[in-house]
Amino acid sequence: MKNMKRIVTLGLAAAMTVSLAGCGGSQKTETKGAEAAAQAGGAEAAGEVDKSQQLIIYTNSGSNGRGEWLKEKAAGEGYNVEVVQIQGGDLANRIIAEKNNPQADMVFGLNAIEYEKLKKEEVLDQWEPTWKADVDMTLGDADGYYYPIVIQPLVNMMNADLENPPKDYTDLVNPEWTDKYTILNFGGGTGKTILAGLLVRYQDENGDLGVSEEGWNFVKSWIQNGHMEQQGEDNVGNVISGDRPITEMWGSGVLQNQTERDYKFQIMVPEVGVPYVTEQVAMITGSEKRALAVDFANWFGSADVQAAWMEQFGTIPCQPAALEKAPEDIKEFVNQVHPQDMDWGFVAEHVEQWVEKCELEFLQ
Amino acid sequence: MKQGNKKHLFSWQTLILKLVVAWAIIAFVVYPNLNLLVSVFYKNGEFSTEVFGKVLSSARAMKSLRNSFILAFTLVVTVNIVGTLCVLLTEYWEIRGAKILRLAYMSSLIYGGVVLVSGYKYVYGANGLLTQLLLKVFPSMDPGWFVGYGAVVFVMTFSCTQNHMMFLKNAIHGLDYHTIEAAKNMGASGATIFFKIVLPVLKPTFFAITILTFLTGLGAMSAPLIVGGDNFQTINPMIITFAKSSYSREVAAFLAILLGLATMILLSVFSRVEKGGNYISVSKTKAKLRKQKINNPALNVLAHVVAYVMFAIFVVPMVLVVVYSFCDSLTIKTGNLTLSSFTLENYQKLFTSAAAFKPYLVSIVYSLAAAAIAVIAAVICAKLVHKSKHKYDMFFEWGMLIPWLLPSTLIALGLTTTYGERHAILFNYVMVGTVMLMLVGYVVVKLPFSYRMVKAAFFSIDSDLEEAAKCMGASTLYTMIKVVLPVIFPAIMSVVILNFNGMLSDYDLSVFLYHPLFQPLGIVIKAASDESAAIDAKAMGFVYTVVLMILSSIGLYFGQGEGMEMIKRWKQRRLARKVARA
Repeated sequence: MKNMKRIVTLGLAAAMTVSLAGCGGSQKTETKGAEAAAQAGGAEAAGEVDKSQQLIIYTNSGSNGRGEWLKEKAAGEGYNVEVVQIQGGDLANRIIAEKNNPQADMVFGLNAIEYEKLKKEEVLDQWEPTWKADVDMTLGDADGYYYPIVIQPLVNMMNADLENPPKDYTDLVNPEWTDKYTILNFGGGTGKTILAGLLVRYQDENGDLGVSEEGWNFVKSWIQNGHMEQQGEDNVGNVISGDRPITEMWGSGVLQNQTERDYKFQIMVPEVGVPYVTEQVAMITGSEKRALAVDFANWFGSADVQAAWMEQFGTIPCQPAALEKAPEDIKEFVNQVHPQDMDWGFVAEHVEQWVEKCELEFLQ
Repeated sequence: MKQGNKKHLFSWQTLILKLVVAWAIIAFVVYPNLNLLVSVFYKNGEFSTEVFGKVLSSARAMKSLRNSFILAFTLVVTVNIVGTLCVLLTEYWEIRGAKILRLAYMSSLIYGGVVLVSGYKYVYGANGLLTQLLLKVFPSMDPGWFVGYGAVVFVMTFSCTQNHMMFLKNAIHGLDYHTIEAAKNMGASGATIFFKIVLPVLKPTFFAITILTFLTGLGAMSAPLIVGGDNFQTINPMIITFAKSSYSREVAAFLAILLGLATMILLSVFSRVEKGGNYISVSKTKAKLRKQKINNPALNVLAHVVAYVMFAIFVVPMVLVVVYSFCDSLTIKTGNLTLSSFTLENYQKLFTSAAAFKPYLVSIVYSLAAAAIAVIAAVICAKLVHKSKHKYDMFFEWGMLIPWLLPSTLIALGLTTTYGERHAILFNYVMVGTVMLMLVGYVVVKLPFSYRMVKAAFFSIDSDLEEAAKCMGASTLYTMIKVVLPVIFPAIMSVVILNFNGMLSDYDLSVFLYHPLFQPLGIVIKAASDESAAIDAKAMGFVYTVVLMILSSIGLYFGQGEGMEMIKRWKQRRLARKVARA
């Protein structure tokens, strides 16, 4: 029975070590932070930054080896970064939750809707990158909180042999296309943004949640005439086999699937354009390493790095100089689509309400 | 030492213990959740009732809610039947090859979630093995037959038997064979013995498992999402979607409260029934259970057939998951297996990445610590409640069970929204952003399960043992450590292992709580298998699952069966040496 005691004691000891480590860890970061602030202040005055300090970067765009790649590439420039990959839907929630104890110095990825949310919660700081003049600032923030790096057009991709394909979402509600198109879940960025792209067409300040009745009727029949994505189903395979020849897809997903499955999809391009989700860079309030983070963002958003990022991962850069170096398939895709004019502030204000209404009332 | 003095000292200790436990329950369980619910429903200083109308008028929400209850009630029946069969076939009746059957039946202990359901889809889905076979025989059948209520019930029935394989097995081994022999001598038939002697002794365990099964049904997630089809979706995925949107959080909370109320009713009913008497053997020298022969040859054959059909049902999906983990991701997505689709690349990727090892370590440390702390808390509270003298001791029971009333997503949100600010109850400590946060979350969600199973184990203790110890002058603490704990130790170990395995790859909770520099496995797996990000995403999901299977098996090995035996043998040898020395 002595063993039992020992086991229990061991367990308690372990628990205490963990808890002590917890306290110790946070204290350490606090003091480190203070030192860093002092150093950063000094460095700024001298126009130099201490690159050896660790930057913590949050992103939803760090999977598939992107995080490691960036870490390595940055290390080559002398930066010491830790890229923390967090899923899109959870990333903004986390930054808001850590308001009183911020862990990250900067964030990249996400989209304008999420950045608007963060701006409202006052967890972002204003800043200015050196490459501000190079990029299309209509995609970024007029108030100077976030700046665009990568664009992601959201489209419907279709079976190559589909005859007389639909030209716009408004065609899809016809009986001809019943159960012929997959709608991605509204919890994910693509599904949510395409839904928003449809609803903003019917903006009406007197309507329910800012949308006219006509708009709601249209969206209702669009949802009910189609097929909501189900977990585990092969929606791209269904497009190729023709079982359900149309599905929503994000830009790099179209390109990836074309390469992976050796297939060329048709793309539906409505006259009003398609929603462009734009990945952006922003600085998190409370970071003690602002000068270093800005320095890093200047490097990361530059045309050279963005071109390398594109070549490696098939993204579509906002830097025109980087886009010029794009391989044929990316160029062809970009030339096919054009952005829909959307009021992102309006979308950010309402999109969660819209999603809730659709989830509760229209989905079956 | 005078006995009176000792007693006095002890009750003083008990009071401090009670205060500490009560503070922990309030600070980590009650307060954050209450804070969340209040912040969700009180808007601009008034109670918002808008949500009732929203939810009650939503056909989809109502249908999903109904489906969740239908599923929960169905599973209570089916899982109990299949789970009990699993245990009886391997532990009670004499069946050839029981050892290999046991391994197969325990497979539900080492994997679950999306990958498990995918495994079943590779057998019964449109491209699945069985479906393709059936199509050759009946070309006119619908290849998409494995969808909806039946499919969900089937998958979940076989994947939720783990509690039976752990706890019912322990309980059956606790049977006193003398009683069975006595009944036999008195001429009782196999059936009479089974229903009149075996089942009554197993009653507390059945109660506990039934509650767990019901809750699993209510909280079903992967199975309905993947094989539920349009007509059989459940409420939990909806709750999680809504919980993540700050605007819709009240809807999530309201739906969760509806489920919570149902759970509360169930728990109090069971609490009452459970008090109505439990059978324990009064024999002081228990005999080890011997397996029963099924005398009727027809029934014997039937039992063997059932045993091996179940073997196939358990094993084939698991084997396919392992096989597919060696395939490229396109094969995994489409399910078309060919020779050229095999590759070692997935595993190479796992083991060559420099950062690959750390998440395992993080998850193992967190899960083990949380599993142990939750069980220690459970033992303390179960002891406080078991034979409690004061009515308010029931506070500890409800405190431990509260996390069952809310889905883990909301518990995580409660912790992050509450302790992202300074609160006096936690001495103004901001817990968000520290490594403590996730440990607390892990412990909290594992409390109810640990408590419930430990409580069931307490019921099986012969109170004469305790009384004897006390008569001989042992203090309560001494009795607890030297007499009670050894008796329930197998059950405790089972709880620790199940806790450990359950948290090892957790995502729903971890995603809100982890420290950015210490990412647990679930987060890494999700990042690697997130379809929107990676080409070979799905393949990595399978690879991680296989590695997790191995980890969980190691856990099982040490918590149960062989590993446990090894430790016991080692202990016995030590004891023998000690005795020899003396």
